[in-house]
Amino acid sequence: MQLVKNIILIIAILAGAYGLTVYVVNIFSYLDPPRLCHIGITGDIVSGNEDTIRSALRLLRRDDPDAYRLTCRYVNRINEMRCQGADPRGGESEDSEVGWEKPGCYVRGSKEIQLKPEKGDSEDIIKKRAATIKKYAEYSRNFWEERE
Amino acid sequence: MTITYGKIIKIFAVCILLLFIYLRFFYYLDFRNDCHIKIRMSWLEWSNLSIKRALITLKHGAPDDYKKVCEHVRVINPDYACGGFQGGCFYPGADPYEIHVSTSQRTLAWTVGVIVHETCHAIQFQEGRPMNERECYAADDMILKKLVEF
Repeated sequence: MQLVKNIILIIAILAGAYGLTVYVVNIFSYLDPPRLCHIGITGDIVSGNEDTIRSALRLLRRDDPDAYRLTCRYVNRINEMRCQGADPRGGESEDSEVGWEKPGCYVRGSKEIQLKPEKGDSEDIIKKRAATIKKYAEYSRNFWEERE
Repeated sequence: MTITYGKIIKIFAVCILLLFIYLRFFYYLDFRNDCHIKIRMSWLEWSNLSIKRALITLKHGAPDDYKKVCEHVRVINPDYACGGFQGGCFYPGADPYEIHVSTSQRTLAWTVGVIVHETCHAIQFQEGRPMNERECYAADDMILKKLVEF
């Protein structure tokens, strides 16, 4: 009887430690241990909302498992910050080419994507972010597959 | 004083730990491309890993520009310098192989752009040419266009 109690206690402690670890890691990034998925998240506390990035990833997991698998494999960090795809001081770029207002971007040579900061947490924003993440995960896949 | 095996193991463990910290945060090593860059400590930014991420991105995304960085830069100083936060600097009077790169915003693509821009100045100086901002702005503009996909 004592042995059964000890086993239950150990299982409870391990389950608690696992839950706590997942909870704490998910405060700073996105972790989904069953699918071996970890994505670092750098939010913008002033003008963004990194919770909607996590919600978008969960939405992909639920509604589009293929895109979710792709994201977990080819994206290791999502930064909530505006994109800058040119330097207007270079002389040739116009301000409109810089990409400041684009919903996001992918940086070739990395597994990082950037999302334009958005404050709200509506369903619409989450869906839009999920679509943006999916699009740039595909860009990342294309880049790394071209190299193989 | 006697030195026991226990002490030797402890000293060895501390040396390994210090070496790990040094190589992880303060040195960029890429044997295959013969690229060795020292990254100084910054008390303001604590961003040495952002610089390493930028170098790795450059390596995969723009190998020709990466080779130039490896050839002309030996030290990256991540401290705030004359370029301001998220800017860069090259001081012709100091070490000609050292560039200053601030990564305060942690923007990967922009950090790559700053590295390429300051490397351009290092090349100008090492080749005995005058500092030309226009050429170097064009270089970082080109690398951003090459790497950032919308």
